[in-house]
Amino acid sequence: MENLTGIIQGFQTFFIPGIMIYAFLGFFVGTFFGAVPGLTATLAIALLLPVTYSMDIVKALVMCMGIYMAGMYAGSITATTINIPGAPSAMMTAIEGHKMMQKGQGAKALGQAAFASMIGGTIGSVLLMIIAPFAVKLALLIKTPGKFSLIFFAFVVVILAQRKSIAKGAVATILGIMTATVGIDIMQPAARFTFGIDPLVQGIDMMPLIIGTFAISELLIQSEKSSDEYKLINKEMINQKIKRKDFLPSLKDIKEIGVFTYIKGALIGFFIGVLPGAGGSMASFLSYAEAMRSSKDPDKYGTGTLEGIAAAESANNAVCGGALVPMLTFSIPGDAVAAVVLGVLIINGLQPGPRLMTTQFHLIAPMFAALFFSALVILPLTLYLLGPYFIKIVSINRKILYTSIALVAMVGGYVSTYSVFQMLMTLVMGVIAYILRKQNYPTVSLLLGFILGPMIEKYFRRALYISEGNPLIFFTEWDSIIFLILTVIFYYFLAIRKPIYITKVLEKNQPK
Amino acid sequence: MNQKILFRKMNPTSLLAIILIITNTIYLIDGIRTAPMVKNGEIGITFFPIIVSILLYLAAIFIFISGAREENGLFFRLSKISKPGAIVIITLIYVLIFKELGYLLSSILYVFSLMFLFEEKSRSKKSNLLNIVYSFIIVLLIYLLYQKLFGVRLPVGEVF
Repeated sequence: MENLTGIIQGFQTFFIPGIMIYAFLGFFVGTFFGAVPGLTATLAIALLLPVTYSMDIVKALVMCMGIYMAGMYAGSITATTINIPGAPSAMMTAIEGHKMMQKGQGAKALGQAAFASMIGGTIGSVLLMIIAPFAVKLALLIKTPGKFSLIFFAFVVVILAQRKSIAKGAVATILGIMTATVGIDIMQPAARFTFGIDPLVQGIDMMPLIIGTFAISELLIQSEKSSDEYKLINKEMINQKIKRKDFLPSLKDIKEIGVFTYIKGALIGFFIGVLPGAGGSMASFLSYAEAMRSSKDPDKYGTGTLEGIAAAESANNAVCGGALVPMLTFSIPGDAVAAVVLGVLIINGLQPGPRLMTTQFHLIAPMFAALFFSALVILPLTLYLLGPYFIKIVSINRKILYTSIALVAMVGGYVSTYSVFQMLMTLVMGVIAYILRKQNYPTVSLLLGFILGPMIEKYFRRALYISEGNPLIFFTEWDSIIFLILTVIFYYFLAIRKPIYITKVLEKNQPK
Repeated sequence: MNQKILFRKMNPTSLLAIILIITNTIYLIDGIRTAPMVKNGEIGITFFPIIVSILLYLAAIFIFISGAREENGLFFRLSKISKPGAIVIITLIYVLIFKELGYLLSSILYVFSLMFLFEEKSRSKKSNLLNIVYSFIIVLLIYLLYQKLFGVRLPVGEVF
């Protein structure tokens, strides 16, 4: 009852025009970043990070939710029209959507992607509001050894979620943990890993790491691309004629797909979102694979089917709600965007966890309302009113775009601590992330390692202090045992016994 | 010919694994020098990082071995890395002059340099002039966003 009252009050706060406007603003920013290939919602929030210092935290979080929801959807516009997913989560939509576009059914595909995103996003945010309070109660029961095992479990899932190379996922995660160890120790007033460089005593701030990893590395990668590639994209986009009504799905199509497909996609998306490091691309992939497995006519997949689009899009938007559950209750972000939102909270002096959710719920509840409202109202409304113009934004002058991103990123690195050294660290982290990305190392794992590293070390050391150095404490406390068993189960299903139908989908569809 | 073969037997996967192993060794040595892992029966400040460092060795060695199985050699396409390299150098210079020249002047120079690098058409007097105008506008807009709208203090140089 108390939670319900809190959520209602959150909606009341959100509906204050001065706050709600930030959800719209975030939605437009998110649509832009989601639609332009190479730019992501993660990058948008990373660039926003420095200004959240001076913003009201409620407004900042509301804006982040608008960006998050829009960023998940907007990738499907370019995925359908020109077969280039604006965001990784739209990869499966590109397979079916673009085939439909080639058959002259692009409008149907766009309409279905918008509708499924709306349903998925709404279900995801409702589940967030229902499940988060229970997760808080669960979090309160976990003691120090259990907290260690929970983060250990999170790390294992983060690493295993990297389907292409588990070893590279492990390296990226460990590099994140090591980066976080630089500077003053987390429990004692002693410096470590400064390598004789005095400014390193202050450590590496979260802001330079986030901005460098997501903004500077993207700038370096984009600079490699020739302008001819962009000219081709722009030319194709200009040729696309999309009308307002294209974003409206037909009732007949919805009936044919079946309500269960949307709900199932949303549920898959939500629970994949809860898992650390999995994110929108894995959710849309698994939901698509499941829809294909359970379909009456699986052969139509890959040839342009609305069912595939509905499954993928409802799942990736439901991730938004799912990824916030562990972030808010256990400080473990479900995906890259949730990790950067966690950064917004930490930078503003708020530590996610049961205490935040109980004593400062009034700051968090408007964020739930913003996520719900973005999916149910802003998404369909803005698409209907401005959808045809969103196509044009892809053709923005990249010279202006990337120089602006570079300037915002570097100045952002400075304002975190008003230190030129942290500005330099932004560049250093950007170069490291660029090298890692060139070799297909997941930079999201690097960020999660950086965020969770100090936590796992703290719980590890505290647990050993309690047990007077006896490591058996991790195998004798019930909460710790549960998470260790979960780790083994997930390892078995993610690394040893992969479902056969997933391999089949991978073989059948090789997205461009 | 702008494609230079630096090594034939090495490939990018293995090279990066070697760099990781070297970096990890520096990290490990620094950790060992800083404090003992266990002191008076209690674990020290370097205990956990050293365990993590050992895990990195294992993962990096695994990557090195799988990289060694790849057949492609180490190629550096200079034309491909020249732009990112130039951006890194320009940004480094920007960091060094940021406080000395102040936000406005250093940022105008930075943005103009990047625009020059990202120039898609042939560089002409007209495009250079346009880039200067764009640089002024971008720097001013971001100045207004940070300094005026969000009250962030940006450094002021001796000139302006």
